[in-house]
Amino acid sequence: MKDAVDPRLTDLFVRYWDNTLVPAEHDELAARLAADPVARDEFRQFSLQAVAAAEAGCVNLAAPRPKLSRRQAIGLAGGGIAAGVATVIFGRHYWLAGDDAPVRLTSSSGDVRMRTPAGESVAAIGAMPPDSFISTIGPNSSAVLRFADGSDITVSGESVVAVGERGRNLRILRGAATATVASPTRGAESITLTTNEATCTRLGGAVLTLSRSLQATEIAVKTGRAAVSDAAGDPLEVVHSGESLTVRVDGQHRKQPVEPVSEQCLLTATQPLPQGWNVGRIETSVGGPPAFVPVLWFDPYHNAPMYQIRSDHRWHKGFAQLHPDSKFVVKYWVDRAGPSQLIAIVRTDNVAAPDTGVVECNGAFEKAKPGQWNVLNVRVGDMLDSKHAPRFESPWIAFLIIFNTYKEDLGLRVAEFRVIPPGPAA
Amino acid sequence: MAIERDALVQILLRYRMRLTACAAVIARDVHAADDIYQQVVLAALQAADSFRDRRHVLAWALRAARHRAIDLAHRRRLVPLPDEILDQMEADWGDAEVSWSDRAEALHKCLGRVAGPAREVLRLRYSEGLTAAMIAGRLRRTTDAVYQMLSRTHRALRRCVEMEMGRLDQPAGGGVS
Repeated sequence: MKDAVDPRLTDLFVRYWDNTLVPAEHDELAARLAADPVARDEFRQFSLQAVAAAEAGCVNLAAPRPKLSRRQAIGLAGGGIAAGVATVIFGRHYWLAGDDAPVRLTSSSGDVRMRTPAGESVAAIGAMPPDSFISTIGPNSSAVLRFADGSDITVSGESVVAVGERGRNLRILRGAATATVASPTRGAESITLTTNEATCTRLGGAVLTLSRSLQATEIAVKTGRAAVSDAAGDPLEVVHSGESLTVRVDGQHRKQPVEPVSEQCLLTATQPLPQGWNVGRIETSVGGPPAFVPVLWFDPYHNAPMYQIRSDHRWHKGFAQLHPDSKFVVKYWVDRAGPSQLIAIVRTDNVAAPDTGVVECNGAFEKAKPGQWNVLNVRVGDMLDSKHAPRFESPWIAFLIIFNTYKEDLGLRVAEFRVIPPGPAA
Repeated sequence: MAIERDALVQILLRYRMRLTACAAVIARDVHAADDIYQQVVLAALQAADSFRDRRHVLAWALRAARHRAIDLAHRRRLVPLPDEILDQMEADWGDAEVSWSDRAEALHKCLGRVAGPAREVLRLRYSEGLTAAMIAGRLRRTTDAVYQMLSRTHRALRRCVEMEMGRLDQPAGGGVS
């Protein structure tokens, strides 16, 4: 059969994707694409192949896909590619290996999915087949992976991780993971943690958090230390206990001390949105302060488009340390009152513990006076009447803040969000 | 007349594959391209009132995805394709009348037939985002051997898709390796 595809074009494509073309080859590729519509079409077909291969993980997807699948909905919601491909099979996980499996999913809460290289996905704990993906979907979802050397890794929030190298490496594709790495035994290497921007090695005995956004990887070490190298394998820094290192996609990096989570917090819209801010935008209006305003987005928990403001995910930094007598104070505006929520997703004060809970004020803006600035003042201890309330003792570390007005655009504007610590008013 | 938000979401879901591929071919990272797609959806929802029709949505979304991908490529110091090529490719992607659903379905069938080392190399390259050099180190092969395998696999997938779509006079159902 005649080869319908020009081999030279695929050679150039794979090395273009790797950014390893020499200038002459780059010029050759550009000339071909500029002059030949067929070459451009082929090039686009190859990029579609790359996307499909990444989404499928090269699994057998012979069955036709629905036009609007749960996968697409999750993908839209930010659940991630690996999560998206998953079709959850609620039932016995027939792929379970023996107790000597190098990695096991030992516990999970919320929506947690494991996808094997063969494409099966299960919502259950057990041994992880080699090269599997784990995805946690929704802010209060988490999973704990136990490695053969005794290391535990907690994956939380909207995260996707892959286990490779026979269980010696965890790759964080999106979101956050906290590792409690076992002390090294003689002759054994500890696990490594990688992202596109950085690789952490020599982790024996360390407790650290890696979080990855579109722009950067952040490594925060609670105890022990981590040797961090860049994407090319060149050493960057050794990060010690109480330090964090941010490695940007362009390779620039900065090390700084990790501050303890404060009992108070102030968010105003007078500054640009923090890097990684999830949903919402800042709007400035004549005669009023700048404010956070919600946007319509697809909420994976409710499985519906909703008007929300969702902060960035600060698993290790946290927004504030909460106690029952802490207070949320929100300066806000609505064009009309209606169903609404103020939510804080919280963890324990042990960054390595996977437990999370939800502190929520339902009807937060229902009693507002429309068309003027209002102040919501609510005690954290009065926000615990829900089935998702934290089942662990305070202090609770708020790592994600959500304002939700469901399917209605109430014209919400949040000018100021404060956490006030317990104690007498100043 | 403006497009309803639900309809806007449906349109963007329909074009998800090509928007992601448009960003991926610039950023050369499918996971980042997926993030860009989601950013574009959010941005589109914020600007929902300004869209006239389906073509307008697609054209705007392609341009938004392209700009975000170029920003990312700059930050990652990737050598970009010239703007005129990106203009041409954007125009090609922007043909709203071209349906990709049959092609995408054929592609997924063909991916299901990829076997052996080719399957592993595809997974490592595009699912895990490893470079050819990193894959070579992991599989104990040379970098050139990884490039050759990727190149062959892309060609084989391309032929397989054509066969699936009945454009070549060849029996379907063979393996891809």
